[in-house]
Amino acid sequence: MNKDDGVEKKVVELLDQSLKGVNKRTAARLQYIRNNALENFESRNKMIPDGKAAHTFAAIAWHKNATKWLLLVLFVLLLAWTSSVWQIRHHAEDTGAADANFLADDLDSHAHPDDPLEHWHHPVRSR
Amino acid sequence: MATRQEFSDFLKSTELRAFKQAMFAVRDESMALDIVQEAMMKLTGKYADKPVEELPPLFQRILQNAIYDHYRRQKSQSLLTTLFSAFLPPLNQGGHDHYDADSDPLETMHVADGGKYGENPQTALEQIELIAVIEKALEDLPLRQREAFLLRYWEEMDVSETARIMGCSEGSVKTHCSRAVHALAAMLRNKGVTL
Repeated sequence: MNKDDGVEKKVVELLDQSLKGVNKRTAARLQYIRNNALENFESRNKMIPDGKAAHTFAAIAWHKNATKWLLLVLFVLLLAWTSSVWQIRHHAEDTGAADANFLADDLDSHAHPDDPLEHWHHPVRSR
Repeated sequence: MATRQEFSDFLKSTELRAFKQAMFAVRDESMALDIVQEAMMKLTGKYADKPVEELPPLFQRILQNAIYDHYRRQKSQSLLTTLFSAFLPPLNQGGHDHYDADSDPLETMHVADGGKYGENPQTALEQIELIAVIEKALEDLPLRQREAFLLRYWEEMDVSETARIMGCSEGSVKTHCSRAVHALAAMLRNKGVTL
């Protein structure tokens, strides 16, 4: 058997006895604190409605919750729309630039500086 | 949901033990009362809709958290005090002792009026001295060990409840309790107290 067995029981017993030694001033302050806490409990309970009021409060809470979710869905839709618009615009800009480059390359390849046709005069027009 | 009377009975039955627990932790009467007040207000303000059987572990958890908050505040305050200590007046001029370990137990004899500790004054004095030694030994325990010991043995909570309140495993609670019992026994033996 452990020599420390039973220490906790004796300590607890003495601690229980020590509660009787709490002075009156402290006990009065504790009572004051307890009364304040109970007032807090009562005032909180007044805020919790019952009967018809409870039904109304529940309905308000439901609507508030629904509104919150609706706003969330609208926000997500707005985000998706903005994203798609942005993507389309950038795609148009990118493809536009690519088309312009392609055209420029194409023209450059056809307009050769030493092409004799460029210096050729139309017979009818020159006449 | 607990009624006002149930709340009142619960708070009445637990207030002194809660005060003592806070006293062991902070060693200052006014701070201990503040902690008890904070815990009670939080319990009645936020958990008024809880059934009465859930109140003891809830209250203990709130109380332990309030004690931890106090330690955190004290830590930050002591940091500031250390930084600005050069600008503060010496403690012995304006300060006052909150706790005096060497105080004469006869000074508190008035609380024993009415035979609270027994009829015999000699027995009463011995009892007061023994309680003072045990309270000092409990104060000297590490925070977690004291918390585990008080919750487990004084508040009579089981291991799993204590573990939930302390936010640790059941094995840790058992370890803390065992160490606390051994440390208390050793401290009391050193002071010549045989239980």
